[in-house]
Amino acid sequence: MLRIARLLKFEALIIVARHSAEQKEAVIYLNPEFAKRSGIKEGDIVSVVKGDRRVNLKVKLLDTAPEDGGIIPNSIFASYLSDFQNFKSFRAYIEIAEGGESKVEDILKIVMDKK
Amino acid sequence: MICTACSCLCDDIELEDGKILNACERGYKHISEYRQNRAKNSVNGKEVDLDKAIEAAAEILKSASSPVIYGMDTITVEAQKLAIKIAEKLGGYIDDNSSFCLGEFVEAILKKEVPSATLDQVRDYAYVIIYWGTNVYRSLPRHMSKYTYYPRGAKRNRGYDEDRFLVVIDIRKSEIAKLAKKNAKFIKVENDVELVESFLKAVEGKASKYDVGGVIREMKRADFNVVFGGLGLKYGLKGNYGLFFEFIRKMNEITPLYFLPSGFHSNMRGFNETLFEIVGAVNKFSFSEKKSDKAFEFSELLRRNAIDAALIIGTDPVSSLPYDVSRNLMAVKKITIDPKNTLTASISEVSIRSALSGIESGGEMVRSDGVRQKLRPIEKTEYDDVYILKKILEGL
Amino acid sequence: MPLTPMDIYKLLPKTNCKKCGEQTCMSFAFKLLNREKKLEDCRPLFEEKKYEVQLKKLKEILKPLEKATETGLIVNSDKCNGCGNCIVVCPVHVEKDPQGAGSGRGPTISDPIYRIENGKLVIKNMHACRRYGKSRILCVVCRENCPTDAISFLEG
Repeated sequence: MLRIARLLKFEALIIVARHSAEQKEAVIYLNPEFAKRSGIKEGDIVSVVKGDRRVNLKVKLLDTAPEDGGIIPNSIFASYLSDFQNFKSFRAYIEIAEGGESKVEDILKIVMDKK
Repeated sequence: MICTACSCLCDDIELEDGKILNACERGYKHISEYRQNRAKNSVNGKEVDLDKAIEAAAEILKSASSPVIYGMDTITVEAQKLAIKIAEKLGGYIDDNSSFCLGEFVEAILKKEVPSATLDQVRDYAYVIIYWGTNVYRSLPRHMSKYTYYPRGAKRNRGYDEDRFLVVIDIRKSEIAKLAKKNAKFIKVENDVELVESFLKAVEGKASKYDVGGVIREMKRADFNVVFGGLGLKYGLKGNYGLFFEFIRKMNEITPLYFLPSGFHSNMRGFNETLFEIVGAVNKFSFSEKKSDKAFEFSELLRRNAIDAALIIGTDPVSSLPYDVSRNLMAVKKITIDPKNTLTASISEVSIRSALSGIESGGEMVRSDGVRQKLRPIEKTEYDDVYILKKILEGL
Repeated sequence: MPLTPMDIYKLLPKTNCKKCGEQTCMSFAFKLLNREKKLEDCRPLFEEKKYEVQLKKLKEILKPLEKATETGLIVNSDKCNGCGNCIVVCPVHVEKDPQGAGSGRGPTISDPIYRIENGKLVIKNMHACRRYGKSRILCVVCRENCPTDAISFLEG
C-alpha cells in the first residue's frame, strides 16, 4: 500500500543528546505527536537529511523528544550531520527511507574517503 | 569500587555474588562489559606486540613536525601528567574534549571568576537547584539522587518536596523536566541568551520575555543556591559566556548562587585542573608558542590541516567530532591509546591497547566538582596508560 | 493505565449471586484487584458457557496481577536506567537508613525494599513497604519520581 508519508518530507528539530551507552545503534527518537503528524510509525526507517548529508535511522518513539522533531543519540550518525555551529541541535528534513538503516561502517567509509 | 563511567565517580559501587550493586545502567555496562571490544596492539593494521607498537608510536611522534596530543579525559591524573610531558618535549599542541565540551565553564571556576561548590555542599545546603541545558537522567543518571535534589543533607533534611526548589531549563521537556512538579519550575527555552537577559532584568525587578521573577524570589529565601550548566547551555549561549557569568555574579550580590559544570567524561575536570596547574590554561595549548588559543583546538588544527600526527588517548574523535572536522583526520598519522577498539583506533596507523582506569588500573581522578577520588580497581594490569606513556616518553 | 475495580466489574456476571462469599460482584472485583480473591472463586464464570468471552477478557486484563508483588507494584526493567531516585525518596529507607539510601548512597541496611542490581531496580523486601499489610497506606513516592514510568502500581 502506498503511504502518503512516503512522498513527503518533514522539517524537524533534531537534538543531539546522550541517551544510552550504546553508540552504534542507528536510531532516532521521534516525538510521538510529530511522528503521528508525519505519518511515521515506530520501527520505520527514515532518512534524516541535512544539506548534502543523509543518514538512515530506525524510528523509536519517545515522549521527551522535542515536540517538532526528535533526538539522535551521541554517535557517528549524529556527528556526521552536525557541525560546531549547530552541535547540540539543528534543523533537518525527515522522510521515509528507501533502504535499511545506515551502518557505522558506511559512515566511516565516507569519513575515510575524504582525504 | 569507584565507577569511572561518568564524571559523578560514584564511590559506593559494590560487587556481591557476581552482581554489581548501586551502579546505574550506564555504570553497570561500563563495568560489566570491560572485556568486550578491546583494542589490539597494531601497526598499520597488523597485530604486533606492545613494545613494537610503542616503538612505532614514538617514531611517528619524533618525525612529526607538528604533533598534537588529544583526549585524556578518561585516563588518570598520573597519566595526564605524562601526556602533558610528552607534548612539552615535542613542543606540540595539547587539547582535550573540553574545548568543545564544558572547558569554558571549568576555566571560569578555576580562575575564580564565578563561585563554585562541591556536590557534597550541594547535598547538604542547596535550596534552589537549577539544571540548565543538561538532562542528567541520561548523562549522569545518579546526579539528582546521589548529590543534588533527592538526598537528605545536613541542613536540608526534610526531603526534596520541602527543602529544595528544582528548576529545569531545556529546549524540550526532558526526563528531569518531568520531575519538576511541586516546588519546582520547568522553563522551556528557545533562546538561552534572552533567558540570561531575563534573569538579569528580573534581578532589577523588571519583567521581560521569560518569567523568572519567581525563581529569583525563591533564591533570595536561601543562603545556598546552585546552577548546573550543561552542553545545552554552552551551545545556547553562542559564545556569550561573559553575559552568563555576569548573571551569576549579579545574583551573588543578592543571594549566594554557585555554578557547577554538568556533563562530561570521568576525568575531564582532572585534565583541565592538571594542565591549569602546569601552564595556566585548561586546554588548547601550544607548547611551542607557549599559549592557549582557539586556533589550537584539536578541531581547529584539523580544519586548518595544521598537524601531521596525533596521539589520541582514551577518546574517539571519529564518533564524536562533526564530519567536516573528522574527515581531516585521514590526512594525519594517528596513534590511539585506548582500552577499547574505538572507530578511531580501528583506522589508526598505530593502536595501543591500554587498561581501563578504575577497573584494571588505579590512580586519581577528579569529579565534576573538583573533588579528587582515588580509584579502587578490581584487577591490576601492568600495561596501563602510565606504563605506555612513560615508555613513549622514554622513546622520544 | 492502571487497572480499576470498575474494569473488572464490567466483565463479571453482575448477578450478585454471593457464591464467592462476597455480597456483591463489585466487592468481589475490589478483592480480586487486591489479590484477596481469585478469579476461580467466581464459579458461574467458569460453569456457564455464556460468560466464556468475558472470562477470556478477564484473564487477559488480570495477567499483570501475576507479575505484581503483594503491594501491587510492578517494575518495568526495560524502562529503568538505575538512577536510584526511587531508592533515595522512599520514606522507609529514609527512616531506616538515613546515612545510606536516605543520603543518596546505595542502601547500607541488610533488608532494603529496593536496590539497584546490575543497573536495574530490584525489589528486595516488599514487606517493609508502606503499602504492605493491614494498615497499609497508598504511598506512591517512588513512582512519582521515576521519570520513565518504570514503576507502576495496580491500584494506580
